[in-house]
Amino acid sequence: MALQELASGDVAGIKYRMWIESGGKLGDEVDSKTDTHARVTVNGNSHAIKGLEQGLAGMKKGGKRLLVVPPSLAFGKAGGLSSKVPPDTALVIEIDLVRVRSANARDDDTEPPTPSKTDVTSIEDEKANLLSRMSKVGGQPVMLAGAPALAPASMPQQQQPLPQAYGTAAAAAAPGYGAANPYDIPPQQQQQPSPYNVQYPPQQQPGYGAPPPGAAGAATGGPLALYNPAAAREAQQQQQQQQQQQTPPHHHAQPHQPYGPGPEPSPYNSNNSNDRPPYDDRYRRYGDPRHDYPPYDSWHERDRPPPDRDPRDPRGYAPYERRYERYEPPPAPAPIVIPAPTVDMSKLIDATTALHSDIKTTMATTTSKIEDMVRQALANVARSAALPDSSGYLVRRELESVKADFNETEAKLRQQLKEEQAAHRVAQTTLESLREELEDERRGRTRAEASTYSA
Amino acid sequence: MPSLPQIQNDSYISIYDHTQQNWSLRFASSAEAVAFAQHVLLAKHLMAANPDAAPLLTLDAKVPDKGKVRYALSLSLSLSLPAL
Repeated sequence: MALQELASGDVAGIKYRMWIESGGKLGDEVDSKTDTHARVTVNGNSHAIKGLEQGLAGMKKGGKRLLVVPPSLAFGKAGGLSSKVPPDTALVIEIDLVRVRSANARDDDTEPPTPSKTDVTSIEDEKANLLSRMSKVGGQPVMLAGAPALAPASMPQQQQPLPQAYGTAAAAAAPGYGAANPYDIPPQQQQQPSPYNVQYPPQQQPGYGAPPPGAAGAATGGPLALYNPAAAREAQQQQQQQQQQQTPPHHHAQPHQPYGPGPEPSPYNSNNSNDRPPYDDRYRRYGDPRHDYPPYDSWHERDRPPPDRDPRDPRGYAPYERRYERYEPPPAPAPIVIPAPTVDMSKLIDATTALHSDIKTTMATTTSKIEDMVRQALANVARSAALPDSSGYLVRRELESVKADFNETEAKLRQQLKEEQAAHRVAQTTLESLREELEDERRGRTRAEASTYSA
Repeated sequence: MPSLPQIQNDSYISIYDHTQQNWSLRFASSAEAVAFAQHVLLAKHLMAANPDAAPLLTLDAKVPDKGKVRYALSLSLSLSLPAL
């Protein structure tokens, strides 16, 4: 369906933005109308600037056009728009053609006579429509700025005299009307039916005086003419009682939803424990959305986490840091480590073993010497015994010499033994003194450390 | 004499320059194309010898019933600015 191009005399509803040319460049935006549309007659002689009226020709509805209007076709030498447009200034205009009303009724157009070609659908005419209805009801209408001074011809004009009790002052001022007609329309014009006025059959709307559905059966005669309100009320009450007997009231029944069934009621969202399904152990986990009850209740005693405080602790809940202090053992004291003694025990042991070995060797040598001497003396005795008696003198001399040697060596050896024993005693005392020193040192060290620890 | 630009498919502008070379400029949005066309149109107006008697310039940015370009061959030139 081809859209009609704008021709002379057509009325165009446009949204526009307007800039001025300043200094050879695009200047400030001086005017715009983008929310609603302005009406301009194409090539007409209206209030709009000439360039705009001429530049609209050939546009189609929904189109967009840029115009550069020379000053001769714009505000000229006078300037305009409350001196926002200086004299001799060209304009740049951006136009959106949103609405078209053809000048002559081109009934052979491809477009059918829709209400868009009439006054009905524009916002301002709807306003006028509303105002005229208000005036008929009888209230004083508030005159809004920008409302057109004519009521649309498409309004169904039905003039009914209001009852006297409704606004007596207004009725006295204008008998037969609820209020003075603010639009000053002659009644002759008001009674003319509009060609676009469609008579709809009356619709029954519930809640606005129509009989309830149960009333049709209760009324014995025609459907509406014999409508008896009391009988209808009784029938409605009977119907309600029947419904109550059929469905006993349930304490969590779904509320009435006029716009279709709502979401399916979830048992997990219910606060009623009777609605809860039997508990399933597969979902016995934290973080499961099926837990609509608090998770740490008596049902989950074994799953309860350990408390963060000792319930017997009279101090109550400790702050966060102290809570962990309680579970830590007290710091263990540093163990006392006694260092190794500085005395070189290996040298001491060497000295004593050398001393002992010396004593042993000397004892062994002296005893062996004494045994040798005794063996020699016995051998001499045996030899002298084997000699004849005449040799008794020699034997006696020999024995005496042996005895003298024996005594002499014995005395020597005894002296030597005494010296060795004295040396042994000296060594033992030194060893004992060294041991005492060692013990003293160990005891003193421990005492000092014990004193420091107690301090 | 370069002609007036034409806005095609809302965001393309095609121009013939003085060597009769056709340029098709693609813009990010139709609003940018319209803004560009405004400047071109104003420059065209300012080129007139007598600005007072200059003609009214019109440029259709959107024509509802006009068929749209479906298939087209295009050549794109990418020019890089010298590094500053």
